[in-house]
Amino acid sequence: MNRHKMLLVLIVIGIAVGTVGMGLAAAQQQDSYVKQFTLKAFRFGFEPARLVVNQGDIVVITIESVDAIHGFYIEDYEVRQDFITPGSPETVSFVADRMGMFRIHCSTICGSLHPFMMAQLEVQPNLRFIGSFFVISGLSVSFIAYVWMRKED
Amino acid sequence: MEQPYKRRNLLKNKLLKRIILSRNLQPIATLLAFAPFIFVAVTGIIGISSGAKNFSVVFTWILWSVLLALLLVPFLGRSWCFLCPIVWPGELIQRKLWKRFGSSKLMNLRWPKILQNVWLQIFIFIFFGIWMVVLVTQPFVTAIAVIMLITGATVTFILFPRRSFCRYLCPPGLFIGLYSAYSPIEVRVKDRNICLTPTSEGGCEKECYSGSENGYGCPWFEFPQNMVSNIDCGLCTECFKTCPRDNIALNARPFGAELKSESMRRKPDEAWRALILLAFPLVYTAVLFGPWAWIKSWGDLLLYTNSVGMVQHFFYIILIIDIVLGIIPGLHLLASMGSKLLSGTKDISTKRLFVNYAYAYIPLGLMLWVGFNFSLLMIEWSYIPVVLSDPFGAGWNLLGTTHLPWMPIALPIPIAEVAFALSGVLLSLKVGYNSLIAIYPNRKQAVRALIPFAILTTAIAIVYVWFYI
Repeated sequence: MNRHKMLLVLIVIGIAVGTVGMGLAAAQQQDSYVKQFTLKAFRFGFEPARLVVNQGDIVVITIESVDAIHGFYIEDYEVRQDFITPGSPETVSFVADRMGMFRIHCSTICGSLHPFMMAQLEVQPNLRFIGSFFVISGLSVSFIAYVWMRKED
Repeated sequence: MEQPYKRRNLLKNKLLKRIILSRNLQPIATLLAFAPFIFVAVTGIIGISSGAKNFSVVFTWILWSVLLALLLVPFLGRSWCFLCPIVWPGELIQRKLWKRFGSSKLMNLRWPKILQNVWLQIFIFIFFGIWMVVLVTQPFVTAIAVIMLITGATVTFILFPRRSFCRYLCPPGLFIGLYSAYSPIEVRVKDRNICLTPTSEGGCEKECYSGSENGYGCPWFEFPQNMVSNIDCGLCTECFKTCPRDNIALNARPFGAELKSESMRRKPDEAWRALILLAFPLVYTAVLFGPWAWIKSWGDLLLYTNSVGMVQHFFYIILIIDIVLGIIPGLHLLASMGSKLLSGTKDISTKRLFVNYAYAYIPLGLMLWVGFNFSLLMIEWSYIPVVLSDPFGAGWNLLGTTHLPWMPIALPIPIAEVAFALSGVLLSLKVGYNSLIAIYPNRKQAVRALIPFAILTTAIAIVYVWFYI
């Protein structure tokens, strides 16, 4: 077997290991529930800073602005609510149908650190991270195996 | 000095050669770059204090630094140094008022020998890096930083010869210089034997270093005939103009070629530079893109008016310094010790492993910087047309884009971040394996020695992607 074929085989093995890991994690998936959160938006963060739900959950988030006009936006889900004023909470709801960690941003300019006012929504099982973990680890293991087995130049 | 990789001299293209040899190219490029940075200083001082609405912050940190990290450095190395506006006033004084090198006692101070390394540059970079939370969000602070850099550069150019500032002080240069080693462009001599011909036998007078009527001696203190690395080559093009034998080439080469070359000297200060620059994108990602509001407020120096806040800020500084100078280099030291143990030989010291292998983090570090800046651009790009239309935040609508809503493009970020991390790991392992193969007599020893470094490389990449997926 030449070097390139060997590398290809090792990469395929690495990806297969990653896929098995993802499958095992998916098997732990739970039933759907309604998950409700009250998210306080303040300069320059959200409380709680991490929302954890399961895939398939119906997520209802009420956003209360504490100190200024803020906004709310979840990456990928494209759930967005601009101009949330103090004293006037806004509620958004959606089905958490995609797994992974999604960053939550403030979508209305609220001060100097506004571009970095963030929180996280984690939809479990986070197969994107688990898969990446196995793929990156698999790549390293494959590389070491490849250089170990290759013939002397 | 031969470098075992394929190269193609781009100056075989006559048009490109004419452009490169033109004396007008650099002044025009520098002037074009100087104008926006003066505008950064002006808008930062008199414009609106909200960074997202001010040209100063958006241009510097969403456009310039992102273009630098995503395109200029990875593909064109130190090309920014060619047109850098920060040094323009100083270089103008040096070249026009002070005339040629050595003509004035005032400008001929010798750079202290103890500082002829990158340590001072590293500390200045860390100084700016610690206050990134205010630096990248406050227009006034951005403006002050630009003014400080221009002033510092001008004073250094007045007192010390050539580009001492760029070589030993410039904080962006720390980043640009190290990662230019990975870029596919290099300036090298075509045939070293021509350079080695004695003057008595028709050889040249080393005009590339000393200068001639056609151009200045290398402003970067580089001697082209001995150059094996891009790290200290500012692509200023002077050596193309001064070489009387037309013996300088602008080569295209494979990415990262010089990192795999055995002729590249490995130095401890450069090793620390690689480790610190590997730590910073992780720190920036955690502080700015992480969900923890407390760390952002601890890092925001301008937020504090009381002693409790200052104590928190002090702890924040300790935390950042700890990660950058303690944890990441410490983990690398542990990996080096483990590597020595696994290799089964005591002939190679831990220090040598520490220094040599640190260069292997250059591709990973570059990819993490690229990833951080890619995410920033994708999320915040829509502020660019807003500030172009209303640079001071004064309510102008010059281009009709002032009221453009915030429009993040989040979809490609996770897959791109994983791709950046994967390529960083693979390229780092390749460079690392090459550097270990060069110091171990036995290949199996080199592979065993690679294992602890591979574990650290993988762990860093996994921690990094956690923030995005």
